[in-house]
Amino acid sequence: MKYFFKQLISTPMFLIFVIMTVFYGFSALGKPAEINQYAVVTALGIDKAEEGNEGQSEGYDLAGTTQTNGELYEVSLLTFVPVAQTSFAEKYKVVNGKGRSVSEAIDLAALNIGREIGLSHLKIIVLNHELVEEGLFKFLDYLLRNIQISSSTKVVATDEPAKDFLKTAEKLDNESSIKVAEHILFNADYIYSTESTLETFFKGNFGPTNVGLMACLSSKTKEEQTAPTASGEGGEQSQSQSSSGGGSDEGKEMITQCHVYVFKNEELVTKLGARDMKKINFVIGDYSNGSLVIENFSDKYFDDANVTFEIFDKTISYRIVYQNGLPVVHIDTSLTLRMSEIEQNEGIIQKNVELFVISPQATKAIERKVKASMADGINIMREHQVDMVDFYTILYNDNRVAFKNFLESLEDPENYLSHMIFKVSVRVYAK
Amino acid sequence: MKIFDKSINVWQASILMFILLFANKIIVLPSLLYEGAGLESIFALIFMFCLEMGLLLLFYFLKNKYPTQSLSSILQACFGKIVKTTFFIGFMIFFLSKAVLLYNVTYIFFRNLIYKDTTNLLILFCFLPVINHLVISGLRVIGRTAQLFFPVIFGTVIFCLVVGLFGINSRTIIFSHSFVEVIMTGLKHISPFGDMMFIFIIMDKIEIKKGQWKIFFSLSAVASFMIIAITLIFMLSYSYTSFMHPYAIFEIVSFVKEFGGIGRIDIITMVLIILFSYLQLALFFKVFAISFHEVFKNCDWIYGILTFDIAFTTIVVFFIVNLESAVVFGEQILTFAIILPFIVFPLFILIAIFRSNKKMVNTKVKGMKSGERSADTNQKELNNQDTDVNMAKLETREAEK
Repeated sequence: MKYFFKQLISTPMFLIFVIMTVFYGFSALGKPAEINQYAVVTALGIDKAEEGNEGQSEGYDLAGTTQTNGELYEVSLLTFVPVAQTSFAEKYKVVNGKGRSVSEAIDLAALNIGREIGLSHLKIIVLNHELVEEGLFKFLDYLLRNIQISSSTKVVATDEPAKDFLKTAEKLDNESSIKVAEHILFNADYIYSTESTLETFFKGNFGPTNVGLMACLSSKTKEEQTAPTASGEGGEQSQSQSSSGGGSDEGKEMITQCHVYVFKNEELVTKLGARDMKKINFVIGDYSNGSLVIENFSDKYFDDANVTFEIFDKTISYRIVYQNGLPVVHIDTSLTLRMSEIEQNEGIIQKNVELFVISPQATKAIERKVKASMADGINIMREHQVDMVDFYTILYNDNRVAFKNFLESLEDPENYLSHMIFKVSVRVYAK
Repeated sequence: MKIFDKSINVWQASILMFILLFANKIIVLPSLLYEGAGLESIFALIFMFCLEMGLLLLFYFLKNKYPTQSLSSILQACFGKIVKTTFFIGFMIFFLSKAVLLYNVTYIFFRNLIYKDTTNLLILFCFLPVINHLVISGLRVIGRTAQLFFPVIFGTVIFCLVVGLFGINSRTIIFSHSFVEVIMTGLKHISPFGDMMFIFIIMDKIEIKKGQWKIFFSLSAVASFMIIAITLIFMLSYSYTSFMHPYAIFEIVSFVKEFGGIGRIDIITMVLIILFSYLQLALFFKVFAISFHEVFKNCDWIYGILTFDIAFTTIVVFFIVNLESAVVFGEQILTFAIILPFIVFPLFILIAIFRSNKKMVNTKVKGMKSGERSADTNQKELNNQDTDVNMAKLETREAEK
């Protein structure tokens, strides 16, 4: 034993280990538990709050004590509250703070909860639509600079106070374990929506087209829920309102998607409904789920039926040819579909269920439908001069000299989409 | 205090080279390169690796010509003591600066992503004892430690690359920067390169048998390929928002952290960076200690170690305290120091290679007299001397009979 201790003492690394253990061990024992020191924030809401607006902030507030120009931000933080309990349910609380900048508001929210705000686990940022419409980029800088916030954090706008939205989100999570961040992740795969993370938003905004997209969500009761926001498209089944909430109780809250905000050069250009997004997504090709409805379709199986096809797979490619200095973009897309629903006056049709074959007439009808949708999508982009596909990069990478010449030949190079020619080809396969 | 640097085999030397090639290249560099010349900056990176490989080729020729000689004896024999001493002073400054840059980037990475309340001294307290121990224990211990962790390091890098591939989802403009911009970006950010000089400084401790060079070259090529791949994946994943992501290896995994629903996998990159940082700092420290001993021959090894500790801690704690100053240090100060590994040193090594063998015969004798030999060479000679003595005794006995 004596030899053993002698050996230990003569080993420098052992001594260092002992010193480090003592040093860190005692310092760790002297500190409060980290969970009591930091507030783990999973969702952040930002609202516009007027100075001295009573009741907006629950707690300490600098708004009444500082000179402001009336533009205050109110930050709401969905914070994890550690509570000893036997169930696996996590407890969350919404904490507010107001300030002249987002960081000041977060600091004041920290004062209200008595803990330092930790944003490493932030999953979603909810922005009030008023802020988004007035000038989103005034306060986005905080989100851009904060190294703790992950690039895959979802960012959405909401047509109600972000604070209320977070309270609904918390309630939904408690009642039915529906998480808003997962909701957005799910929606992004659908043809009616778009990916809405900090990364995709900033990437679009800082890219050559300067176009950024942001989804808008709403938490409404079933009673409040209104018709689809997009203009009606005769007879098409509405799948635009992807919603969650579960249960059949009247007045129960649920998350619904309203529209997609489109920004260009740091300004809000337009709001697109789900059906408009669908048209544009056909051109972008950035989706993996969706459906397609052919109305009043007749062939050897159907008579004046509304046939719904589920999209299983899609591929899209762009081919550029220059004609007289103008770029001609060939969009070649192929869709793999499965018939999912037939609506016909005669009732249920037994034919063509087991072994589904798309008839030539149906193929042509689908092609026409997709082409029309794509044409509409391109027109929407042209109308608002927003290159949501990033044709700029595609054309530049294809032939930069020809593209530069094309841009130079235009009076308004910003509006290059209107001078481009599009040719679409669609191929349809049955699954 | 005596430090016996026992020889290392070709695998250990190759692994050390593999680890050193990663130094400072997988955290901040990709973001800075993209900012300078977009996606085309990958060519600047390839160009800089070509320079590194050029150094490796020089090492190949030098080692083949002087298999048992140390760099110190070669430089002294070919150019004299002043040149040799100047070179070793240069190595001291160069590798100390590299260590400072590496440590700062690592420290800022951990402070921002793990524990923002941490202080420089606290992290230093974690690093310094371990790297001191590694340096004092000798080159073979560093080699064996690196060999032990190599499968973990290699596996983790491969994992990051594979996971990073899933994050590529953006379209970016290519060939929008001029050739001059690419070259200038490469030169501006060349400071993380030039670590290959390490292998020259320990050349007499490396045992390379015939046919083993392929291990050496292969691992270096694999490391270069991996760094280029990490940079490319990072650029393709983030493109226009690269400036928002200063920690490349972490970011390429972080971007797809929800992949497979297995939660935060970016923590793995932190383990990788810890392992790299420990081993790279130990290697930089080792070079400093060897160079110090070459310059101040009469001083004990402990002075070299203490000098590094004091100089390193002083610079780290008082001068380069944030990412901005680290980047300015790397871009504006250390860039000029790169003249040493890529211009001055190769020039002298080329001259040493083309010098006649006759000169080195004299060097061998001089080396023996002045005791500038490696421990292994000395041991071999002692063994030979023993054999000679035994043979002489046998001959005497036979003659007596």
